[in-house]
Amino acid sequence: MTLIAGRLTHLIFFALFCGVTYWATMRFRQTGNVPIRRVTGLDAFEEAIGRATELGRPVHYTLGRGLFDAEHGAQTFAGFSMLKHTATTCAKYGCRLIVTNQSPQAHPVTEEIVRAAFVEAGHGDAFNADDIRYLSETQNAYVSGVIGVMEREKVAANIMIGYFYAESMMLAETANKVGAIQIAGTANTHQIPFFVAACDYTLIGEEIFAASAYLERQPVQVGSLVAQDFGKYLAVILIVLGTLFASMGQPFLSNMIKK
Amino acid sequence: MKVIAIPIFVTMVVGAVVLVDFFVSQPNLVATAREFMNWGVIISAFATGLGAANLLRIHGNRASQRRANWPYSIVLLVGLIGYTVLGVAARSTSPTYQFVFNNLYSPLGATVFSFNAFFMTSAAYRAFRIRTMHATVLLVSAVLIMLGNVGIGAVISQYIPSIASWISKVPTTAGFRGVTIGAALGAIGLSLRIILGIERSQFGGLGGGGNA
Repeated sequence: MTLIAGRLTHLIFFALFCGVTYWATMRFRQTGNVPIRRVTGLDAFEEAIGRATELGRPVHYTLGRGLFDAEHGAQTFAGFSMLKHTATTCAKYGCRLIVTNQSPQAHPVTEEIVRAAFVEAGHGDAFNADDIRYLSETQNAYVSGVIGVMEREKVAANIMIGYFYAESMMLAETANKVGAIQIAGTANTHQIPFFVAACDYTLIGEEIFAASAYLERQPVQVGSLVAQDFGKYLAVILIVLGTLFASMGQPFLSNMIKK
Repeated sequence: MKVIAIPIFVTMVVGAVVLVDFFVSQPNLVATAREFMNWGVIISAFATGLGAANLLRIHGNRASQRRANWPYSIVLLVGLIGYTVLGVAARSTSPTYQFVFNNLYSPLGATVFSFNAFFMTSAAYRAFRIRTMHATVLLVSAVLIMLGNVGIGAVISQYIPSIASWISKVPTTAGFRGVTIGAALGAIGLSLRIILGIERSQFGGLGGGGNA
């Protein structure tokens, strides 16, 4: 068994990440207090669902592409996590939730998540399987389907968490047209500007992965959140040092990272 | 072993094997990881059938019960079943199948995609309204980028294309890279929670109350 060339730094960084997660988890368990930064977009969930409940109109939720492969899978799972929270809140408030899926793989998972959330909240009878809809795997067909759902159902809140391509703008603008409050989040850098331009609240990049930890505040989740912040500070330090050394003609830091 | 523990156990084993396979080279481990990934592809293929079944159930019920907008459900069912039958009977390479795709599906898809031009315009109008310092920076940057990418920009000032290029290459790229690094860290954290069985949202009713 040999270490693959070029993966040593990855391994060291992963071990550091795990170590910081463990340390922060223990600290949170002992003190019950580890400072976490505020994420405005996540605080807006209650507001959005509460508004939909007051208006007596449904909430729409989408995972975007809903792909499970390596590059996009993590964002889809972040979307599942937020769907659980959204469905639980909708069940608690007695608000109708419509989930539209572009991915047939994600569809049964979303149905199970929403059903379980409604049952656990004691409102299993309010769950309607017809509100969890697979529309199409093709982008344009899916978009036209969602536009139809938004226009016909007059959704009051539109929540979009996951991996999105060009559908981001079309969905956000249609929801804006029907007067829906919008919360969107993706780690696809090409779509973030569209969400920022068109939505009320945008979760940028890593914020979608922090969502469940931020909302649930369980020890290990808080620990991984602290590790995320630690990783960011470490990245900033390495970037600054790397820039300085490279400017001085000493590329040893960048060479070391490549090992 | 409780039923809840089985999917969590499978997730932990598969996640750990694929993770270790990323770092080390060991023939048996590589073969096992590849096998797990192939299983993923096969299971995903079954899900396509589930998606079609969901469409048939929802729109079949709507059409049979004459609920609101039921004629649209008939159109969808005729399209779904008809095109599937055509594909199976005449193969996807047949001229009839290709005709429907090229003359119905493709133009409709292009039409929907073209909505983006109008949606972008309306979103840009809202985003660029000067209300805050951020909106002002956004507006100024956008105007410079737009002018820098059309001929009239260079006519107004020879510096505009250079400024537009600098905005695209330096602050924009720096911002994108920052977001990418943060997202990668977030993905590591989430993946770790899933592999350890702490994040259980995806299991729905098997998750034992959601996240642990």
